Amino acid sequence: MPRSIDVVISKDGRSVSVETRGYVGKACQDATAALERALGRVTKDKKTSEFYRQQDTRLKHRV
Amino acid sequence: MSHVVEVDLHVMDLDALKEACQELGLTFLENQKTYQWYGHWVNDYHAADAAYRTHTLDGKCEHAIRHKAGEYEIGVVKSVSGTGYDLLLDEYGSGQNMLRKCGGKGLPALHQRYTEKVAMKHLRKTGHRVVRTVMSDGSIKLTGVK
Repeated sequence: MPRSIDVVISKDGRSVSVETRGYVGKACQDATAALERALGRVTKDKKTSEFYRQQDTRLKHRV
Repeated sequence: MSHVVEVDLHVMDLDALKEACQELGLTFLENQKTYQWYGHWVNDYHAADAAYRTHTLDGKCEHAIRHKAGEYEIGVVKSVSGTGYDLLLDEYGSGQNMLRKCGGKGLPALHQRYTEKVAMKHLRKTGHRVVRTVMSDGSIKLTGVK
């Protein structure tokens, strides 16, 4: 299964959501951790229920 | 009047900021050590984003961002956090033109473009092919595929 990352940056630039597909469990966090560090101040980091499943995980945060 | 605010954007990647400025039609003045503003603090602006709360208002900076010559500029100053840069702008007078150019208070257009550039660079660096889509609500979606 191909791995992909969607990054959606709100119109005001203040909110960024990151969604991964094809990553299993903690691999999602590993895949997005560097991106989050690059984006800077993470004030919110919410894991949805998919985080605890396989193959499809999501992280949302605000910068 | 000297309504100098600290913009809520912490810059860690100067190259991304330069690219964002270029896309918005702003000029990034690398190593310009002063930025245009009213010139001295007259104790007239005390909102939460007032820059005097966190920075010395002396017009000094590491770099500057210009909209048009002769107008107030954005000062790119070393962050008080110790890493990266903060952006200062006198919103009064010709500073209003910079606000209009960047989508209003808080410079949302600059904020969005900067964040986009940072994310794009990271995705490419990590081996993703990236597709950029502007969504109907004005948000920007980057899809990186490996």
